[in-house]
Amino acid sequence: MTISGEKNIADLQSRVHELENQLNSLKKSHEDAIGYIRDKINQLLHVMGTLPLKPEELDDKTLIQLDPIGIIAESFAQILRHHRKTNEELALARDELAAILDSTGAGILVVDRERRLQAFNPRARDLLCHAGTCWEGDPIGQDFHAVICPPQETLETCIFTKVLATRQVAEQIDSFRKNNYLQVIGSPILTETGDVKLVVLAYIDVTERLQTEEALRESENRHKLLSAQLKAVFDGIKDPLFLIDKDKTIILKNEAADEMMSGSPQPEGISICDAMLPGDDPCQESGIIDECFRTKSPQGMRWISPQDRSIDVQIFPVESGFGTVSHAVVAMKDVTDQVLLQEETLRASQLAALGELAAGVAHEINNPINGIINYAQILVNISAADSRTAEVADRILHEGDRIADIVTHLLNFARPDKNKRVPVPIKELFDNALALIGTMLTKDSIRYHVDIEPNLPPVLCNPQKTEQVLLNLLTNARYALNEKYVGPADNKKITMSAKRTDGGTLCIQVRDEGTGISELNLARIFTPFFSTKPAGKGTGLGLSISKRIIEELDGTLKIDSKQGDYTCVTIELPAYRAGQR
Amino acid sequence: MSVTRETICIDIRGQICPAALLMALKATNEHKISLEQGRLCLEILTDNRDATVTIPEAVRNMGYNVDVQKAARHYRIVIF
Repeated sequence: MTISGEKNIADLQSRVHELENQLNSLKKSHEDAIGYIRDKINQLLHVMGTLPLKPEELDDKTLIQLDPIGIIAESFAQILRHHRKTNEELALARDELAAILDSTGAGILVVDRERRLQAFNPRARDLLCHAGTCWEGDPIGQDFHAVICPPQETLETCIFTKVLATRQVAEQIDSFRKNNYLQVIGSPILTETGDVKLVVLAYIDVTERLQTEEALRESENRHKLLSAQLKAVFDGIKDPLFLIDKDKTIILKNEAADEMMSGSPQPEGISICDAMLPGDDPCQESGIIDECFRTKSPQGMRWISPQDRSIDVQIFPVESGFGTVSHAVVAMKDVTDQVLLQEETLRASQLAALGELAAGVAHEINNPINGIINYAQILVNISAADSRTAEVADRILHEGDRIADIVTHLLNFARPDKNKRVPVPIKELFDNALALIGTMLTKDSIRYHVDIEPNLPPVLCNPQKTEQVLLNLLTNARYALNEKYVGPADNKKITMSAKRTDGGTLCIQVRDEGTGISELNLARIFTPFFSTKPAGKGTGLGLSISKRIIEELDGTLKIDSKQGDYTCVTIELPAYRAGQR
Repeated sequence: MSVTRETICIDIRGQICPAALLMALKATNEHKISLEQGRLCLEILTDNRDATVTIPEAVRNMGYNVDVQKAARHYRIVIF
């Protein structure tokens, strides 16, 4: 080997050594690079929330092929894009929320658990400051305890404390100063673990509403009181009153109206005409209700009810405030008794005048009749006993006596002392009545028969009034018989009887076999002004007055009748006991 | 009106978590446009329990919906 060959070998060895060193250096560098890559991949995986890669899981070659950094970088790009989008949406939502908060009528505060203000809207500042709980400067982050809770804070008084404790929505009325009321609704915002993170407080000024409600309540109470007073007054009026609308529907009625309608319970909202006047509709016929609504002036009428009662009906308009008549008050007053009294007064005054006239005539007749009787007696005295003159004079004497008798009865009947009760033999009552009407009965071929039980005590009565009743009954009997029989007939008769009852009273009966009375008319026989006689023949007052006279004398008057057959009037009066006045 | 989605199934059973997550993310990245347009859903089959937490969390952060279902011997993670 040459020196140059040896040198070359040495150079090569040196070069190999150098290359080995370079290779080792490169290997080290490669391992460092792979280690760095694995380290960074693990760092990224950690950020992704997962475990580090184990070398045995992926060899270096597969690792490079898989390109985890590229994958994660791309994923991060997507994450960033998604977050950007989310942020944009959140920003928009925040702006929307801010706009809603600013434009809402409610004042809104958002406070954290430590009562530090996190958000608010301008309305909250205005409302709370007006309510007396103001703040100054930048309030965000400030302790708002004094603003949201009253000085004496309790679970009941501070809504914030309540929401914090219950973790539920709460609502109450806060008043920080007199005559100012805030309705506040507290809502919790909870963390994932269910703790209260924030409390949202929404305030609404309800001062005006509460004051209005209070005023309304007071007005309602006043209205109720007024209504009760009105009802008391309404019901206190003893005549039927109705409030009706334009359709004549009953809106309101008093107790007297209820009584008037009782016996036929009426549903609500019925027409006054249907309720009051079945089958007989004066308000429709007369049209006075319509007239009242039309003319806006009160209307009135006298109405004879189906029960023959005289009712004064007055209709008063109720104006609605817009110049129209919305309702009407119908006032009814039963004036039957008043009308009856007027009729009776008139009749009594007529009778009194007639009585005075009769008494005057009777007195005037007494003088000439005494003369006639005296002259007749002279004729009797001077005539031969069986002569024609004596017979005629005797008849004159007899008839003259009869005239004198009638005149005496007339005078007695017209005597003004009509209220005194005295014991009177029943026969005397019958005789006196017959003395006035007997001739007329005979003239009409009516036979009459008097049947008085022996040893009857006198009846305790007012003879004039009782005779008036008997005269009335006999007049009715005569009318009924004349209606049934034009001429004489076997049954054309009246029976007058008197007997003692089991109860110790005296029973007087007047019975005729005349036309009788139908059942329908019998039910109405004592109704004043009810009469079956043609106009001018009867007033319809006779029986009603007779019944009243007998009842005033503590007696009773009843009528039994069969149509076409008979009529029997029974009067019971107290008997006179010795010493009784 | 619901759009019928195409389903691509990726079976990474046998892979443990970091690799499983990387496989799932790789597939999601590859199909991100179809996923965002709602035309596709990815069905990942895995038997690694950790992956049922890491994969859904990662893809949710990326803005996708995830549904994890338990099958007999593995899990189905549906990304849509």
